[in-house]
Amino acid sequence: MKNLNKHNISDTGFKTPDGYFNSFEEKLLLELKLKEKVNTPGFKVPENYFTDFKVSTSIDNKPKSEPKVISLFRNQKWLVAASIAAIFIVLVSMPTGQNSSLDFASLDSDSIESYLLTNDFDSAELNNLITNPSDFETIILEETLNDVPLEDYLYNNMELEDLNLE
Amino acid sequence: MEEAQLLTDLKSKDKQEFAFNELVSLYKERLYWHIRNIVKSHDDADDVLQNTFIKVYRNIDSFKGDSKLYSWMYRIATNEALTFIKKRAKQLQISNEEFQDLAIENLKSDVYFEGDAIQIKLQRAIATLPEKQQLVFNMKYFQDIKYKDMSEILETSEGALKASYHIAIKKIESYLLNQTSI
Repeated sequence: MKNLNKHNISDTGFKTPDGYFNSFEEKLLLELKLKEKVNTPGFKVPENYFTDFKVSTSIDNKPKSEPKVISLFRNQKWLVAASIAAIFIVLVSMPTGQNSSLDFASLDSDSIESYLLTNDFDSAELNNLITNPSDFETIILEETLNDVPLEDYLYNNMELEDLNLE
Repeated sequence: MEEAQLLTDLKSKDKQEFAFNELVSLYKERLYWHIRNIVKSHDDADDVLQNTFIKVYRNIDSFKGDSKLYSWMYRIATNEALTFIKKRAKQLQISNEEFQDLAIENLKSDVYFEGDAIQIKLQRAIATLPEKQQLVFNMKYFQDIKYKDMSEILETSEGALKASYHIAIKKIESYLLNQTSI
């Protein structure tokens, strides 16, 4: 008996979590109660589903190795040459300052026609102006100008020296 | 066949096909029920099970053996099932929870569901749990998977799984009681 007493539970070194025995019954009963109410999910499968189950044969085409990935940028030399060519083309095609001035003579007739067609001109007046330039002259000559606006115009737009020269 | 032998055969060109058929035969039922508990419908479970085995087949060469083959396959099945739910929910432009509710509602007219009102209620109660707690509950309650294996599959400590399961049981019991009293 003396030997048995030496092997009491405190000597084994085993421990249980706090409150383990207090909550053991509660845990067990709770689960048992639930299982009494319902212990299956209620799902079923078609007849012979597991017997006939086969993984789709298309997977037999398992890739032996990863497909080769071709980098779009692997050819560095080609990329550099293409970049230089692109920059050159852009520079050549850019308008320079020397070519920026335009005069009437440089306009082709198609452009003028297109401009006249797309702008809101009174076609009757335009036609009249082209076919009878004398009418336009008459209008100009018959136009009476008041002295004050005329003086203003001359004062703002003419140089005194120019008038003296005339 | 021992798992180690099966794994060796799966990686050998000559024995691969036979070993794979063996693998499918060994695990198809367990994985099916695991998936079915997540996605609810038989057709969806069948699709996910196919995808799971295809993924296993394609990736067997990269399986390093850090965990059991069984746990690795369960992990793939779990991910495939959860991804399936997310994809379908996105397609229908509803939340994952709404998709799950819809899947449970569809059980009423599902020819492969023989449960009655209490099973539907149980499914609704499970759906109220967080995603991981649902997995823990389904794996323990319906499949009786050991905590040790579950710990490897879900990469969570056994202690945390036990606590999670107990909380799940409490919540479900409480849900069922409240639903009955209403």
